Amino acid sequence: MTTAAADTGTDTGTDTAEDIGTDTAADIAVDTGRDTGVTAGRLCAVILAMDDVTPDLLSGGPGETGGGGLDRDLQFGDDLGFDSVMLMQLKYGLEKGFPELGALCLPELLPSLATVGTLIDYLSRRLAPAGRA
Amino acid sequence: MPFSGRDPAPGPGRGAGRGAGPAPVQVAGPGGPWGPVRDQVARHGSALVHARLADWLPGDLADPALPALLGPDRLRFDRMRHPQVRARFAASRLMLKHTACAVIGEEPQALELAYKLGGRPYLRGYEQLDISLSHTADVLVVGLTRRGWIGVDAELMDRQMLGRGTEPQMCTPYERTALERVPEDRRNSALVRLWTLKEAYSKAIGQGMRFRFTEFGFGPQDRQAHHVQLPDGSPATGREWTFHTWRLQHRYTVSMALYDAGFGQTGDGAGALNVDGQLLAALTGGAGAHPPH
Repeated sequence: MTTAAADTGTDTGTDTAEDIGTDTAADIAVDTGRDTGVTAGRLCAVILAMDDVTPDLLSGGPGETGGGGLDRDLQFGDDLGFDSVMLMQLKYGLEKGFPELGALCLPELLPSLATVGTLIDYLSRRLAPAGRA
Repeated sequence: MPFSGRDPAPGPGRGAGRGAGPAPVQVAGPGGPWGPVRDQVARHGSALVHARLADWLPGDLADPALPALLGPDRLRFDRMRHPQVRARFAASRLMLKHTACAVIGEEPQALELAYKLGGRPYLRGYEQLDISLSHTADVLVVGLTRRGWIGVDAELMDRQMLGRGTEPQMCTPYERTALERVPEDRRNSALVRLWTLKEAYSKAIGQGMRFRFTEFGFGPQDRQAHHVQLPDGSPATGREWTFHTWRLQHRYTVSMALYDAGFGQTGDGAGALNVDGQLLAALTGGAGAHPPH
């Protein structure tokens, strides 16, 4: 299990989190690099804006990581309680939270919606400047 | 063409299922009642069974007997972290197995629930009985048919979908225009109904959410859907498909999509699922088979 670390957020990540009003998102980062950490922070804000998703769920349980960790192994369905309606609304949230990506295609996105980690990786690849993806 | 993914060869009984279709049957746990379920399968070749989650929840999710009932699903069950999802998962699998057993005449422990690529469930060894499963909040729904393919979906009638970015992602242009003509106080429930129909159809054809929901649709104001529609509202399917939508347990919209491929004539459930002994012997080259030429 890979648990997110915290302090690599740039202004973009932090601003996005604060805009949506989630302390947890502002604390998020991961241990796989600055860009990925920013992406994780922004993703965390998007997920926490969904109905029925609490910081406790996202951090793997109350008190386990002090509410500040984003567990890459979390599965959207089995661990976070996402159903098909929520997945479609998550896609909409991603389009709003990551406007630079433009419109997303759900069938194309689906394989990356297995876990939080696979979605972070997908977003990081899409956000990477040409030549770094 | 998205509507040809599971098209079978025409058969003599194809389209025979169109009409009233099976009536939903509520069961209250492993005790059934199962007679009405068997009756629906005998009369229609299909059944839609629903239950309250509480009626199927194991008293103890740590019960040592539970893994045997879940079979290979226990590995997924063991790693689930969301408590409600975990409870619904166990309850829905128990209900599905008991329901199928009531039709097949097997013991629940003897049935193995398996999954095709993409997640579609099936009963290993009983593939001629097509199954579908849906659960949300505190309702469980199982659909089964031996006539072809089935998909079911359940949603809370008042689940808020309007204004959550859902319509542009799930509605065809025709549906969006038609939805605007639905009175505002009924528009959200009309959208929920459309969603359940789309989910049921996409499950029946084995596509799930891989099939773009903006590329096929239904009539938002139809009392009962009659066919799948193209994005412009024109019919895309024929009489082989039937659709039903019900309001169940006072608060759920439940839809069923049924493809009548002409398989499995109506009659006794268990008997109709058994392969004839002589036919099996002939197919496998055993006793009674004709010698090879």
